Amino acid sequence: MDIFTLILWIVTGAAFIISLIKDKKKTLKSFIIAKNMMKSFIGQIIGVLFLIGLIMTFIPPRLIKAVLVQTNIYLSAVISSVIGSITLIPAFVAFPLAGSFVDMGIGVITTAAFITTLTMVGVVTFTIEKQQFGLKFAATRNFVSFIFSIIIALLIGVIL
Amino acid sequence: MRFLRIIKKNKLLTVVIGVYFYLLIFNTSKGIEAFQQSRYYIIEMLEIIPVILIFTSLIEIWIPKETIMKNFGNNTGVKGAVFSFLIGSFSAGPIYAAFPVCRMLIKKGASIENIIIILSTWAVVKVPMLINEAKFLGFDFMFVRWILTSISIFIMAYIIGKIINRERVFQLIIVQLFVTVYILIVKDVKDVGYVLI
Repeated sequence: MDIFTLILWIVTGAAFIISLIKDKKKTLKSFIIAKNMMKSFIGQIIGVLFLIGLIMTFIPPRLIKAVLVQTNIYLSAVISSVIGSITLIPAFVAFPLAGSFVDMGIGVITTAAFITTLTMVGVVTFTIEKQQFGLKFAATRNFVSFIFSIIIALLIGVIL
Repeated sequence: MRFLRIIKKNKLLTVVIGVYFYLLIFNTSKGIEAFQQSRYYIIEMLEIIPVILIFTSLIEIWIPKETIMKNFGNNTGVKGAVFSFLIGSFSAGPIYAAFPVCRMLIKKGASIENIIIILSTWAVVKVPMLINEAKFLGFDFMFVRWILTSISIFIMAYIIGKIINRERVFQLIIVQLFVTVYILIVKDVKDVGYVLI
């Protein structure tokens, strides 16, 4: 658990206790709201997480690396951005992986495309985002983020 | 009957569970591996979602609409944008943890631009993560990507804000709810087509 999560737990805990003292009824109401939020959320999110597990099983990192090393720069950039969009690898796993990309000689642009799409675009989380914010929002944000991820990757290739 | 309703409301989950069953029977090693891969994500989710939900509901109850509109509303300009950026930067957890918070903020009058900034920053700019990135990909890489991404986030927020305006989001969500309910009641057929859109 990283430090921000820990801080969030502490702050929320304190806020909850204060809220309980100040107004019990309101706090109980907040509990119900939280419960309803969870109900609408939980099925989807568990589905998504297990789906990620499936994806990780069938497109393991070694396979990704093997493919990327063999293809030329532009094709591998496209592939890595597609893979990055689909996956949701946690940061501290993604960076060593990306580091190994560079070590194996997979260009900067490809690596950058992988990371930018990984963090900014989420095809897998799209269903949840669609449910929470509406289709137009989710589709627009993901699409625009994808475009910008590519632009950023290309710019990184130019600058570095 | 209620069981069927639960299945219909959680289509994705049902399909995924189905695939897992299939795998466990016909390709057990892959099935188990899939479970193991998921394990990290499930734990990560459990660490953050309860807190986020309680946090969000507390804010929803205690913080009045006016405060949110004053700080994140439609005409807050630079101040709102910077505020949102800071919130996203000091965020905890994966991007979907931001969804409940952002949804609540939209309902309380935050502008689309600021929400986009929060969401994108939440996803990308996390201080421990940046340190990690510098370690494995070099400080130059991390710094350049951080600068470019931050600039892009502000541009994206402006663009997306232009494409969508607030009322449409509400309408879209409500329309979607209605359509989903209609489809569930009237049709017995899986609305796979709708989901795929």
